[in-house]
Amino acid sequence: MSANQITSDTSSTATPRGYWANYPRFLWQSLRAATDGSPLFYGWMTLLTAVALVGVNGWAHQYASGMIVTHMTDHVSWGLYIANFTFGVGLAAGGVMMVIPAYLYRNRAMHDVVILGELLAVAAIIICTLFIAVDLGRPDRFWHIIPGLGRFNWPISMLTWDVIVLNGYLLINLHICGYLLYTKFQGRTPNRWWYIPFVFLSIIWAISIHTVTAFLYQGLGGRPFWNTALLAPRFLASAFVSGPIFLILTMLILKKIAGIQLPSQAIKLLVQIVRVTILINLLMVASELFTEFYTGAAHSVHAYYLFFGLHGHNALVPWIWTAIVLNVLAAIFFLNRSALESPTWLTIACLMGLVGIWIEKGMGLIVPGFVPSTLHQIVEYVPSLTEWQITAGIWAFGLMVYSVGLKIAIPIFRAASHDE
Amino acid sequence: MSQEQDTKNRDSNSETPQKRAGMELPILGQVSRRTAIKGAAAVAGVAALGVAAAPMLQKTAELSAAEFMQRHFKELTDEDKRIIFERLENEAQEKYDAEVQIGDHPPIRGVRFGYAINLSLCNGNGKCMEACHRENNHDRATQQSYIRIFEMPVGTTDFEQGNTSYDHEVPQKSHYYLPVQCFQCDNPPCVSVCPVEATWQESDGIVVVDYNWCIGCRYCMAACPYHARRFNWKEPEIPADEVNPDQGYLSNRIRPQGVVEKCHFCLHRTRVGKLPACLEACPTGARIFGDLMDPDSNIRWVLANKRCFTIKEELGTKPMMFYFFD
Amino acid sequence: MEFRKTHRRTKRLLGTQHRSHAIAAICLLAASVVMVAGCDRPSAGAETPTRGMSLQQISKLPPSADDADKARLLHPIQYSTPQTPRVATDQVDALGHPITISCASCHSNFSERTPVVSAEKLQAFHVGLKFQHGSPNQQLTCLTCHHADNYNYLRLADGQPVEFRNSRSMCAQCHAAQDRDYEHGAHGGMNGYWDRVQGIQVRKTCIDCHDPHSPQFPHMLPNFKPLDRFLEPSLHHNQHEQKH
Ligand code: SF4
Repeated sequence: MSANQITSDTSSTATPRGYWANYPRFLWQSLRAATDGSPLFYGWMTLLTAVALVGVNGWAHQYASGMIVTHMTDHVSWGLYIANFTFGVGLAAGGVMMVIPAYLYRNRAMHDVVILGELLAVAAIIICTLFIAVDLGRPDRFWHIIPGLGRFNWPISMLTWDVIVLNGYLLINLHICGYLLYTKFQGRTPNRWWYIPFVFLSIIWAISIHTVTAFLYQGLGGRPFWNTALLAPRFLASAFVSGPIFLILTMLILKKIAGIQLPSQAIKLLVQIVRVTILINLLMVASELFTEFYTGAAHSVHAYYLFFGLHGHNALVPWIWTAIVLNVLAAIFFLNRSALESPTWLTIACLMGLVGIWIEKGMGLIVPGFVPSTLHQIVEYVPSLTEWQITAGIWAFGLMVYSVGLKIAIPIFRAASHDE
Repeated sequence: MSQEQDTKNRDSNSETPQKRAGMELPILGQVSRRTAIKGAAAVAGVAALGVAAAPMLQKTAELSAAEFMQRHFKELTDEDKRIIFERLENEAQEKYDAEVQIGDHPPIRGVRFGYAINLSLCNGNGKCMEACHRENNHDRATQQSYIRIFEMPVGTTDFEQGNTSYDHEVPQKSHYYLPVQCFQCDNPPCVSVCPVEATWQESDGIVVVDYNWCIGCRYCMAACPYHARRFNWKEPEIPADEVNPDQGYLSNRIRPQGVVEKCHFCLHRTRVGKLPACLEACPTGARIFGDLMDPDSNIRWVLANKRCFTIKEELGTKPMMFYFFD
Repeated sequence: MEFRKTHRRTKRLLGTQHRSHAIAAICLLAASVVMVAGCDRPSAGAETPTRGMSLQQISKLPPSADDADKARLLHPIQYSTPQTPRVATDQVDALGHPITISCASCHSNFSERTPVVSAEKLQAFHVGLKFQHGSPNQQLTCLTCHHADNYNYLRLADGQPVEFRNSRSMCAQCHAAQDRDYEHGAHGGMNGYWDRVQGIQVRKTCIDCHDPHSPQFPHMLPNFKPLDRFLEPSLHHNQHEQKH
């Protein structure tokens, strides 16, 4: 504490005296902001809490009776949890799409809304971590994967890379969020050197989290459905659809419900980004499908199963066609400038895109990797009620984190920009 | 809505948040009613969390500190192992009412195991599966086993044409039978992916799992191209009189819930020189087991004199289980 | 130096080159820290000379030095030995046990050689004896294998008598390939020890599995099936049946 004060006294750019002393007050103020609000806010938070508790209950049951309460099998050994994990990583990486135009292209208008992307990244990473946690058969042995404590099979296991990049991303974004908020809270201009390098790091890092997550799957030679070099780029493309879409939705909701007007330029820019990325994503899906179906080799059974069903098994067929239709429709909407003028249509287009990607990258990617199994046995997978409970719970918790983050951040940011 | 209020307040006061915070913090009286409500809500929330999480209490209570703190198998001293094996034996006594001996069974120096199956002889009767089931203390309800036998039409090695669930007389005309279990690959993809080194390959080639270290992420199941790994979706159930008391820590001891297991070439037998249970049970004599390093071994003779092949060779996994037709 | 060593070890662990390249390419920098992670890696590679060898390479490994010592230490193989044969009579004794009679008890008394060639003709004392040995258009006869003069013996193709306990040498006349496989443990199965330094290996003999009169291995009914979760057997199977 004292050392810090000395430094702040001597340095010229200079944190004012009491830089750290203010911190408890900042926390207290944040806690207040997070817990004070309109009935609507309370209602929203109560709802999320309730759903999260349902999730906790489901997980407690799963912990007690074993993963038998899920519908996963030795044949389909990953399911809804890992599907959501994958989507969540995309969301986290996509959040950074807010940051790139702001800092790489020095778009001032975006600076104020950058925090949205950062907060989304934080919330999404928390969601991802939770999905991994509930997917573990032995959550009590979680410490085995902590470097130094357990045995960390790095660099050979891709999962350890994922642990590193996800936690690293969480820390970077927590730092950026925390630093920006705290300095703005103090009414000071943030020191560039304390956050700009991290912003650039987070841009690179965002790419890495999704690449590494794709490598988890694409490095498995025994799973031809995933064993394609296109997986990582595809993941990135879809991440850069889902992330910006989620941010657009956030802004639309904030405006509509909380009456918070964020720079309209921001939404426009994000729409432009999605306009490109959604097409790239579709192109990649098409390229993948061409390879599968035109070649028609034994390896394409997974794609056949996904799109048309195999030997009378077709649990995923409705899912994937829904996803394709939604994605294509969303793409059409995003290409149509005038349609997006109306917030309603924009919302609809965004929702379609979001759900489309969620299916395509979640259930549509993870489950067909397992069906048929490596020895071509067909066991289908439909998530159990417990799995849905836990999944809903985790999303609710993630949204809680996101909402609270926004609740704290937005007033501080607005006040700060008002001052300027 | 709330943000709106906040903003309005701020506009009218035209204060920086810093100042406001400084003013409001000491005056707790102003917010006391709100705080009280919040406090109550927090208490209710924690209580609800407790209720929601209650089902896990029992399981957590079962988890002993010694088990929780146990180190990775390779870090254990002989004394550690003695204590751990004793603990596990006691657990088996308590849970399964069975008296068992758990051994260490280190690999024999200079030995490297290989296995071969004569597909011309195998008739798919499934005695090996059953022997595996009994030997390795598998869950009775699911009739688990490390082996699966595919009934394949002649003329193809495409598993898509195969079927594991036939229940008619065997062998059927123009079919052959292909038993599959862990191939103890020389380049095992399941080992590289494990984030915590809970599964590794020992010097005799056997890929083992430390059931007390595995976190149950099932990445290895995704990585295995041969469907050789099984997960304990729940605690296995075995009647006391059916428990095989001759157990190895890395092999057939009764597995805990939530971890991955796999065929280990019956290492508690093979590492003391005995034949694996599946081989002994095979009535057709289709199975040949032995030491690849011994030039006089049966398996070496088979490799030199039969036209052997491995499955999915293109994946570069280098299986140590070989198939041949006479 | 240390770095390179570790890296090589990592490579060996990874087995295939391309995967290691991929990882190295992703982050060369990271590899320098590998040392820490690599230190406690299993040094399995050092002890396992077959690691990474192909099937062809393994099958050509030279004999190891201690083979001579080993040969002296080996436990014997215990072969099961066939007894002189008996035949079922379709009758039971006072306790209800089926009565069997040694073949020789009748056949040694026959002054005249019975020119029986096929099992259908055998009625009394040969109940249940199904004879189906040889190719369909060239079935063997009783006296192909049984010694006509002494039913306690078998006969080789050149007429030499063979004791029942050595029946394998007679079977081997036609089934040389199987006999060779058997000799090398690749036919007939076994019990006990693979490592004959540590214990006895028990071998069956031909007629333990093959009825000499009808040697085809019997059909069996599988009575054990693992019950994989949600695996619907019939549907999958029927699909295939229809396809063929
Ligand atoms: S399930 Fe267990 S053995 Fe398999 S990768 Fe995960 S921790 Fe390793």
